[in-house]
Amino acid sequence: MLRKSSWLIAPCLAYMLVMYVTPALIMLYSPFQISVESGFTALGEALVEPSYQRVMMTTFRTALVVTVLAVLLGYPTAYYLSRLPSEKVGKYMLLIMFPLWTSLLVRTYAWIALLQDSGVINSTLMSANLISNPIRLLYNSGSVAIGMVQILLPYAIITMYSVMVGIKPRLSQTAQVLGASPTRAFWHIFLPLSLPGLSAACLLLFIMGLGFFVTPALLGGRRDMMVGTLIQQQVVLLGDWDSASLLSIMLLAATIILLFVYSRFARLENLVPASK
Amino acid sequence: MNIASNTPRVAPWTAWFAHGVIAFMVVPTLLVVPISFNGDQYLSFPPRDFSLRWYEDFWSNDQWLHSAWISLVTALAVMAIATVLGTLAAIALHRMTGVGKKVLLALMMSPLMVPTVVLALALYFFFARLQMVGTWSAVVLGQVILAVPFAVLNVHASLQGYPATLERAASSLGAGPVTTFLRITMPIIRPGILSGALFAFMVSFDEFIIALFLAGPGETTLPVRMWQTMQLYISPTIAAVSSMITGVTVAVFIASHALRRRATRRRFAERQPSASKATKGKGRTLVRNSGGWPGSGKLMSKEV
Repeated sequence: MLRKSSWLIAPCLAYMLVMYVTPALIMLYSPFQISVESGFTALGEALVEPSYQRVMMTTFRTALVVTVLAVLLGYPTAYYLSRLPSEKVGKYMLLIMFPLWTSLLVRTYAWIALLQDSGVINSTLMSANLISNPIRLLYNSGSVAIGMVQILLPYAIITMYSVMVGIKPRLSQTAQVLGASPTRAFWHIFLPLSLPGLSAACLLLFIMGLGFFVTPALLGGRRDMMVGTLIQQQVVLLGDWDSASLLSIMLLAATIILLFVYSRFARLENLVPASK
Repeated sequence: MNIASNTPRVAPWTAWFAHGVIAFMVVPTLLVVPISFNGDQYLSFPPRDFSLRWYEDFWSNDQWLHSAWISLVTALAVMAIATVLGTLAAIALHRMTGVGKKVLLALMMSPLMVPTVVLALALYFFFARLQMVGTWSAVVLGQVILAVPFAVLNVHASLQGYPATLERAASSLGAGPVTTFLRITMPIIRPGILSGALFAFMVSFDEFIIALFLAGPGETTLPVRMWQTMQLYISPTIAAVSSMITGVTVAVFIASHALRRRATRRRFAERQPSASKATKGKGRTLVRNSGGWPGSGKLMSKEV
């Protein structure tokens, strides 16, 4: 019966077309409603608008910084896990999956509780008489980066681990039997083989980093505003739908261009390890 | 060096480093729990005096309780819709091949790659035309889009290595399509459906951005109320709310893990030969090593 079961996709497909594709098209079309030229003029003006440019620059810079940090922290972790015997990996995987299940607002709140002036870190340092006045840890680009890296790490580790676990330990061992030092074996054997995972992780984290909303809004100061927050403010606070849709189009375009470039030299399936 | 061993030695610093990184991922969130039992107005640590006042604050506040109720009802509705749509789609996708399958799968998975703010804005425009912004149904209908990928992934994964011959056998013995589905297909994919449903529930329960854009004042979900409160001041009541949410999350997490373990055990017990072959062939899937179904690892909604 499943042989002729293609029609079973119809309800889901219809739902996605009505509730997902149509709204996306409405949003993409909205700047061009009056005329195509005026739409492109508005888009061009938005691209050179200094206040938008500043937010876009912050967005790209933050996404880049947190991608690099999360990959630097995640790579050795994924490497360690991929070299463990498989019966030991399970409990580590549970710990890595746990943050993905935990509410995003709860995790962001935890950072506020830790980092604020009267928070855990400052009150601990002060009661230990190490400092006399609280250090300003919150509402700057540093606290945004810490919060974002913590959220991105599970994705970094899972994406890289799923590639690394397929690299046979024997390859590095063989290199070492043939006289390579462990370091040389790593750089010449393991690292090149792990590159698909590394590049997938970089792309995934960067794309995710561009779209962050909660963390920069709650952990950052005014100057750390990212495009997601700007979009929300334009709609909810200012009622400026046109700017919001122009900014969304820019954000979406950046995402699609990145995915397209990536798909030229790697398989997009790498991005969703669980779908393999 | 021991060549016979299949597990190589790694540099000791890697182990320390990995443990440090994992602690960084998990510990800060858990610190909310001791903070919530703090009697002080400030979030001091270690807590000065033990108190349940912030929990009382939550349970005696109608607004918080209403939000918790709304979140629960919304999550159940999203779970029901996403599970039905996703299960049917996964069964269909399992039998498809070629470009059509690729395109459809990409469409179903794409909500995970689109920035949620953009999706929320698109839905806002859409529902504004229908005069539905600020309604509960708009929130549910929007969140389903984020939950569908997880339902599809989980059921699709549980169909991997599922022998088509079983169905042919059933129909050749006279079972109709419905009987075949209920008696053959359903029992096999049930663990996938259940874990997909749990994911869908959690996606909606945690979902914040779509709810922020679409919910009216009467439908404020728990995350939206937390957000609104945090905009005003850092109330320790949020620590109590956070601890309770984390408690529920841990319970669901353990339930889904138990589900996976049971599914794996049963699968191995019933279909030893094909199951072990299927596992060997998938050296690169992650979940083999965490003791469960491929794909049951939660790639949480990328809402950030």
